[in-house]
Amino acid sequence: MPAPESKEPKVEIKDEKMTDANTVEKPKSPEEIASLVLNDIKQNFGFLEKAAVNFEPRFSMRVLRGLGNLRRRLTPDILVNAVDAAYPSPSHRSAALILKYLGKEVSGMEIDESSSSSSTPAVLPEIDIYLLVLLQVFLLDQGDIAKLNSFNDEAITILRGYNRRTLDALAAKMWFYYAHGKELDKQLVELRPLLLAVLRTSTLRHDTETRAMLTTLLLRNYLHTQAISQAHQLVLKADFPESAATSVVARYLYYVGRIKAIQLDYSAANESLIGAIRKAPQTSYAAGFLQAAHKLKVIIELLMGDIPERSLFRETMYEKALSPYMELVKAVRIGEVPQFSEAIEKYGAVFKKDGTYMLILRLRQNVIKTGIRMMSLSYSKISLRDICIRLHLDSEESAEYIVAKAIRDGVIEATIDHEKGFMQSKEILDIYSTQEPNMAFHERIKFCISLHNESVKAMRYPMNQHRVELKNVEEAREREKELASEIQEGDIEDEDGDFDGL
Amino acid sequence: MSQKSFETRARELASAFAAKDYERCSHLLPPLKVVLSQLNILVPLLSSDLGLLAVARDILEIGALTAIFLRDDLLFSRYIAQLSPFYAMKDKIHPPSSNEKKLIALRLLLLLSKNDIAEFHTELETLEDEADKDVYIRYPVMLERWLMEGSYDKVWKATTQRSEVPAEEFAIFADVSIANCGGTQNRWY
Repeated sequence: MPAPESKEPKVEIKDEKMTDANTVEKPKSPEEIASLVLNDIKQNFGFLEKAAVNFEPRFSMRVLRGLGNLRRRLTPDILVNAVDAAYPSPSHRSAALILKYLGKEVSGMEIDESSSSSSTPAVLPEIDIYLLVLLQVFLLDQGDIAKLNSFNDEAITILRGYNRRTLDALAAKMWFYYAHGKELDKQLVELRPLLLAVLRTSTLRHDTETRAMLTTLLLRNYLHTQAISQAHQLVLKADFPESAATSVVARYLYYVGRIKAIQLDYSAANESLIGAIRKAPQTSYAAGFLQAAHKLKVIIELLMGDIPERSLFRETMYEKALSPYMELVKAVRIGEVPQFSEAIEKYGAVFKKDGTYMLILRLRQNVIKTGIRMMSLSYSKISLRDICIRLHLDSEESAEYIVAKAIRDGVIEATIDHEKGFMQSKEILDIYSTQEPNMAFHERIKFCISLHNESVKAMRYPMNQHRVELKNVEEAREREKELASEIQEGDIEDEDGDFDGL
Repeated sequence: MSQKSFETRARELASAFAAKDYERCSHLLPPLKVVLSQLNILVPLLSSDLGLLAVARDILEIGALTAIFLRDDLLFSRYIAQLSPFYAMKDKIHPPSSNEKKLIALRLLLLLSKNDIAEFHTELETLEDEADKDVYIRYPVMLERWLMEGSYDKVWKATTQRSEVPAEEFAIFADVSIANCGGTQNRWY
């Protein structure tokens, strides 16, 4: 399954970029960097507060967007300082938990007694969860899976104690890392009941972000254990909130595309994958995901009888990852069966790892079909024996059957002369006399319209904005009234003036 | 019903199946399934007795094979559905089933003969690595490939010549698939 790598390369690339950034900012001392990071975190607290007070989810989204940048610079000391800044006392439940997993328990314990009696002022849940997510990321990057999982279990109980809609985006993130940790620990099947239960809860609470995230997590879980029919059932039964964060939507579409591809619904799969690729962030951060999606899309395009564009294979982001697929495309394009088998043999392990192997095996018939089509285009009349030799088939009889099937499937326009043993191609139709241009045109119009609709839907309408406008309108009206009265008064003067002028 | 009479009944079923008396099997099976559900092993749980689960699985497998010989597609599909949770936890049930691959291959063949290709591939995807190695599973996989590319002569050979068929149960589907490709061929000539 390609999805697990889809994250790992992401991390790698980030690391690379990080080293670049480091070389540029070398003069800064570690302390300076630490204080900068701490400032960033504190600034994020401010955003989270804004998000909670104004009920404006985009502030929390903004904070989460900075997470990838932040995670590489985290150190235990920074986290301890952040905890100090966020919580009134280290005896706070989450603070104690975080400190415990950072191995700084002792310092917290000393103050514990003095402050536990005083009423602990509430910490904003958003900030609370944000710090927990930070620690999740930190532990994940440290690679200590067992520690991460035990922390996750405790953090999740804290999360489930809250029920706030302003928390949704953060909660979704937390569930993501939770599931990721369990997956690394190979507890996929054990994880399912919990995920399903949380999906139910989030649906009842209209918690769009968590719902979307859990649906994708479950799909991923099912696909990992090859439970395709369950995944399909989930897609059918649980409807996916379209208003979720685009990165989650992209991931969802990718999984749907996978399921559809397995079930031979190639055009639907292709549509999903185009959506996934377009919605995914087009930066090097998402390179792993984009590579996986493109791999699958190449195969699906081939299965549909199309040839993927060559420029795709030249892009630096995909060049290396897609090179085995390039070989396949070459073989399918010219319809050479031996070359195709060679490519499968050579890169079989890669394809198996990507989870595309079974799909690629289905391509064999396409290779043969393309071969026949090429032949029917080049020759107006060709003997079955020649077809047999060119396609490396076992017998003339096979060739006849295969050509017959190609004719029936509408791959070529030809007739077979059984007695004399040849294939006679019909004149090539003028494509503009068929429905084809209409269909293509319709496709494009449909796409444009849906793009327009989506962008209209994606526009933001800030809350209470209309009141400001109303106020403005009222002011304008008053100004107008003033103006009107001034004009009335001024009229007379003006008239006088006019006379003066004359 | 006591456990002992359950075991004798199970043995009775096995001997009837070995003697190819499928009619008798079909009479023995329903009451046995009632017993299985009374013993709480019709659906395997982690809490159920693992030794008994193997017996239950064998009974259901005999049921599935009997259904094939009696040419009852629906009954076969039901048995396969009941067996799938057993196969899902196969690393816990000992001894491992000798019929598992055969039954999965038969199910693939059934799907193929019904022209339910989408389901066929979904099922196939769950197997992944075993597909090319196992002699039973290879059979429906190759049939599908030949049908799709149009090598009907190979399909014909694989289904009509007894030497090409991996087990006698598979031959039962032969006439179905011949009817299938015959039907498609007739349309062109």
